[in-house]
Amino acid sequence: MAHPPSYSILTDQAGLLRFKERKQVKRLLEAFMQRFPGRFLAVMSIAPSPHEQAALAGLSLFNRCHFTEAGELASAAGMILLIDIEKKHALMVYGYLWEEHWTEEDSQFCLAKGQTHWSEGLYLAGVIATIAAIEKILVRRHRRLHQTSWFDWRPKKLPRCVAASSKRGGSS
Amino acid sequence: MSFTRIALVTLIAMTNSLGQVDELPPLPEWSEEDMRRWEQGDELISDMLFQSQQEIEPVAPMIEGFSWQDYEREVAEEKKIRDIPADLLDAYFSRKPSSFLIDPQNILTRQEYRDRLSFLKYHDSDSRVGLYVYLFEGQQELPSEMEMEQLFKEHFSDAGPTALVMYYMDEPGRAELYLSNELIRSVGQAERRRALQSAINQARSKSQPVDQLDGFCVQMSIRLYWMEKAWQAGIIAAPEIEAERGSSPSSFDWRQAFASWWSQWGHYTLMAALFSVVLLVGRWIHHRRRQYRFDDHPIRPRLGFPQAASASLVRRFSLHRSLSSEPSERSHRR
Repeated sequence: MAHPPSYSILTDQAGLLRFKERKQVKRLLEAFMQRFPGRFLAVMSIAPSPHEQAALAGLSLFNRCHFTEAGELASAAGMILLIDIEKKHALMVYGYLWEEHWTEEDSQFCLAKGQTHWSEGLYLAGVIATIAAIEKILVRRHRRLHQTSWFDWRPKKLPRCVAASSKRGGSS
Repeated sequence: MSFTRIALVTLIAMTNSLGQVDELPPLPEWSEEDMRRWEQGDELISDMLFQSQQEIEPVAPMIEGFSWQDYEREVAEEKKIRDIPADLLDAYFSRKPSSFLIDPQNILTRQEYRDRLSFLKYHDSDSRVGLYVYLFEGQQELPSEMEMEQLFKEHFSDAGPTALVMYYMDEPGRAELYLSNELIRSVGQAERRRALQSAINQARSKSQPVDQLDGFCVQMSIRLYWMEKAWQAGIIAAPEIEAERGSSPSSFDWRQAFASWWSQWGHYTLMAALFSVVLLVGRWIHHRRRQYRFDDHPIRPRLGFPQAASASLVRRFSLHRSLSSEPSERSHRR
């Protein structure tokens, strides 16, 4: 049985980023893993794409490969930001575990943040903006799911202590 | 011609009637002797009346040894304001006054003194603010080096709220008012000035110096009543601002107002700002260090993809292509 190909969470095959910029993005990705344990984020740039359709290229790559920094985490817990420098495409592929708290609109929002920079050739800025947008959405989604807002002092559930209006004979 | 004659006669008649109204003295008549001398061409005695005033020789002084220069010098000397001699100052200020009206120069007569003193005693029985009136001559002046604070400390430290008035006879406009520290705390400088001016105005409405003193004391007693009310209520006088020094009310001194506000609330503001900064920084640090863990709910794989089946969006980020009308590729959800 052949081993799946291993990639780093930052794989710059197309050479978009400089050495210092790669270190900076790597630090950001590691911080993301620390901040959101159980989830990881990978950034890949490829050129040229093995598939005609970028989406298929991203899906096949994500399902076949393994990320070294993810450790024991399955690829289903990860998200990959794939930048095709030749076709000028960027896509996000996310695993099954993300589908509980991530939607297509979120991906569209994050890619839109990066696109403004990528259109001007600022790849580093675009990647940083996309990662920041992903973090922001995840924090909000976590608060909404767990009700852990720091100013939310209310109890999660209030006991029902008032009878229904119909039983009291009230009419409104 | 006839018209001119009628107008002339009318004018003369009116002039005569005016003369009758005023009842002027009759004109002098020539005596027989004057007529004879005038006819002979001699000089008349009455010609002297028509000579100019400058030709009249000055009248010689009737009092021996009197000279106008000396007299004018003496008047100027009397009007000149002079310091009170030191021995007299001791009589005024060397000890605590035994009565409310201090008059060691005996400016007032005995009866006048008793009348004024009885009123000041009545004021003292009715008020907690003692009113002491120091009487001076109108041309006298207190030496500039005299310190009223020292006077209050020496003689009135245990007398409670006290008001001292330096009154100059026949010169009420030069009167001075001094208050003890208890009253100064509650009565602002503007209020003190108004009280003094009110008493001075009351004194000026009288013609006799003694009546002036009487009116001054009465008005000052009324004003002291309100000062006493303010002192008993514990009112703190507002700090002096430009308006009290005579400038227009619109020239509000923002710097002084801010300094006054800062002296009162500055510490609290600083503490609140510091607390807010610490709170915000702490929240930011907590936010950055916090870990967000999501629950893992297993999802059945779809379409034979073991890890992911969602590639959400593809964007064309080439500048010229993104601006073109070519639609971007939508998501592929399988």
